[in-house]
Amino acid sequence: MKPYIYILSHEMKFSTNGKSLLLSTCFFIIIILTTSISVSQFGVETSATSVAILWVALALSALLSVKVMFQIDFDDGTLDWLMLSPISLETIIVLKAITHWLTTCLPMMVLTPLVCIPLGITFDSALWILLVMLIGTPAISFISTIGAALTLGERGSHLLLSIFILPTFLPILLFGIKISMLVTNSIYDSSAFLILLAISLVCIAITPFITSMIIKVHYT
Amino acid sequence: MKLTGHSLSFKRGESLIFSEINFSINSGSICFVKGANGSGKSTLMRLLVGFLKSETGSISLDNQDITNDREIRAENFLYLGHENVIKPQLTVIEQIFFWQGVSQNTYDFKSDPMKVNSILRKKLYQCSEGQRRRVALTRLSIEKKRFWFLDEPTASLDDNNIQLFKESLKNHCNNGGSAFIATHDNIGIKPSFEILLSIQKSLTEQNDPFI
Repeated sequence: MKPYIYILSHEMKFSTNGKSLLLSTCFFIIIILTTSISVSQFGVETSATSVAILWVALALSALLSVKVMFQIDFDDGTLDWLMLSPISLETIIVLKAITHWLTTCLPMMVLTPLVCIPLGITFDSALWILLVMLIGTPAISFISTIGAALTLGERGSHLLLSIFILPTFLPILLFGIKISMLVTNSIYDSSAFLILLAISLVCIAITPFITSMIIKVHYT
Repeated sequence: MKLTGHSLSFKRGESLIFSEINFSINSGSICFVKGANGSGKSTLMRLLVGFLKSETGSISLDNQDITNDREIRAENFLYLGHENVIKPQLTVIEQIFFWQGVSQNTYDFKSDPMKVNSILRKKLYQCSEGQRRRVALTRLSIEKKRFWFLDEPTASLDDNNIQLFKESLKNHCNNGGSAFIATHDNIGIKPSFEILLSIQKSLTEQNDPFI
């Protein structure tokens, strides 16, 4: 168990020190503020649009820190070293995804009750949305590893990565937004919850293998 | 333990980088990989540790085919390429502790084969290129692996530090380890085997044979 903890704490150190954490959370708040202000001038703001804004902002901000997942390790040879370490590549990918979730998705979720105020969502609904996010966001982190692996070694491929990955977030976004909208209207649909949970679990189960295959192909 | 390579070749796209590489290395011996720039030394090293797939041939350890066996390679092989595998934000000791933690082995700070004790608290970005290489070389004694694959290990080391490296290498070989070293100069070591790579010309690039 011990080597995994070392890698995880090492990863956390690099993802949390520096500006990346601050940057993605600030980006999250700014998207929400600008879109909610832009939409509100028409007086059409409903719970549906605010919930959609919240989720899209989350997905966009989560993308910011995806590029560095493998790129730095690839550049300085750490990825080579990890490939010859006793730990399997799949495990490393899982650890990277967990780090991404802890350092990118979790801070944004902590801020969610706060940003729900300008969006006009009540605190009770915000807590429910938080639960939906808790189910949906791990999938975002795990899918992101695929994008990070696909654009490995490409210089300045931030935009390319966003184009690849953002559409794949769509199922999570659709279900997440739908369920969140329902709970803000006090409708609790457990089957939709379960589908979102299923999507999330399937992503967690298969993406490490896909990503490791991509990285291996990238090497050979 | 005996590591054998049998008619290894590698193609990048259409061009053949090298072909018909054969070797057989016993415990305690050193193999040099030599050749001009661009002759495929690094490629061969990466192929041997399994980062690249060979076009033909096989690699075996004690008559057991390990061409596609990641686990046995991870257990026995150590690769140190051009990169130092360090994170510049860390101090030397943090970096060493990380390697120790992941490989579940320890660096012997008492005998300190790479003489890093004096720079332990220094951030790696403040270290000189030679100091960084020395830190990178501490991995040799942290990970207790049998086969070392070193790509120009003495790059940016001064004479004193090359001596330190040679001491480590000697210890390693005395303990039954082996090493593959891609290098330009002999650094005063007598290898028991040498792989010479020459730049291969692809047939399609050749000029008209009748001129």
